[in-house]
Amino acid sequence: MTVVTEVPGYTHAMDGAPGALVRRVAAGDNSAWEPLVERYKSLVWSVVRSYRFNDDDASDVVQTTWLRLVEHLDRIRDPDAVGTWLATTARNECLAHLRRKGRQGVSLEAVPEVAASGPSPGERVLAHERDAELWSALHHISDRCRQLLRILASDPPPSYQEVGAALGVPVGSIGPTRARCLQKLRERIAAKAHPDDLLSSP
Amino acid sequence: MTYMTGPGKGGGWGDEQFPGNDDDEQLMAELRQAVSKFDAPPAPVTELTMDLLSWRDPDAELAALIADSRELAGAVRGGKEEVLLRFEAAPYAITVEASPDASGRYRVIGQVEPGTAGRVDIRQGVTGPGQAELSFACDEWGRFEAYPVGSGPISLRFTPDEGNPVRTTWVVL
Repeated sequence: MTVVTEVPGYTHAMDGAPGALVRRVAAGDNSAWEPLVERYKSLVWSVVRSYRFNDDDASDVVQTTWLRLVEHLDRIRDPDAVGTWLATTARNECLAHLRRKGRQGVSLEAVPEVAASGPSPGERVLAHERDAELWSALHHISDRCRQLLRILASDPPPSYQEVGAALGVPVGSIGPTRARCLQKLRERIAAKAHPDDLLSSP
Repeated sequence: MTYMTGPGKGGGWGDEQFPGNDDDEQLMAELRQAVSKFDAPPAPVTELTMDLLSWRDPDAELAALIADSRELAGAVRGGKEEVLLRFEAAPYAITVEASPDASGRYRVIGQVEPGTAGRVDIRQGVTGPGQAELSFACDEWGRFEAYPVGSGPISLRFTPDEGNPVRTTWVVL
């Protein structure tokens, strides 16, 4: 069942590409696991957080997602699309976790309080305030926008296939929704900075 | 194998695939920085993930989850409850009843069908105090009992005295 193909012209430089990492791990090269996790840890965490799980539930769902990859290493049909596979699996595990525990059984992430934590040593106060302002605004827009932007904000930036898989939405809808949601975020920040403007707007 | 054209398949780097205006790109970059600062993947979660590869077990047949009592319509949900699970991989079916105790740990009573003597290893603890593999005897009628099993993802591996081993897919208790 394991398909390990020797690609003609295979060069050492390609060893670090996600698909190559999956093939290497599947073939027994455990050293390729760490860079694979490093590459996608933010995406998987972001997808799970976008469903608003708290730390404990998020940890369970994230581990289960990676365990699915471990148990299916020999069966990944398209190793080059492992990011999309992980995003799909993370979404499925989030939905399964909600089904099994019910919304009531899952304590959701509270809107994080960041105002209390000051800038870290050496960090510019203004930069910290800007980060805090954005983070707060992210939690005061619609759920749909918050979820999309939370996933888009994973690092490195996800592909649109990965985002579509994480949300179960058509890839073509992501660009327009992103533009609309960024506008909502911008309006939220402006409203916070100039609350009086809200009163004068129709 | 066909590939879609353009960036994105598997590894899209950068936001250039979303041709928004410069303001959008700038705001997205700022948001990414804020998210990285306030909600990056916690180091303990990443450390656990790095260890998960050790659970790879290609020699054992993978038993699929056939039934989960929590998925049934009308199931009582919320908090800790008894969980009934059934896994199948020919020629075996494994039924598991996991009951939480007051401390939140589970007592697992299981049955392998057809009744077969062997050993059951429970892999768990990825979110608990370190990973652990607990080993329990399975009698000639295929019965086994395991305690204590922590909450979080678990997988059972059944090794018959004669024949090939079976492992269940991971489920979260």
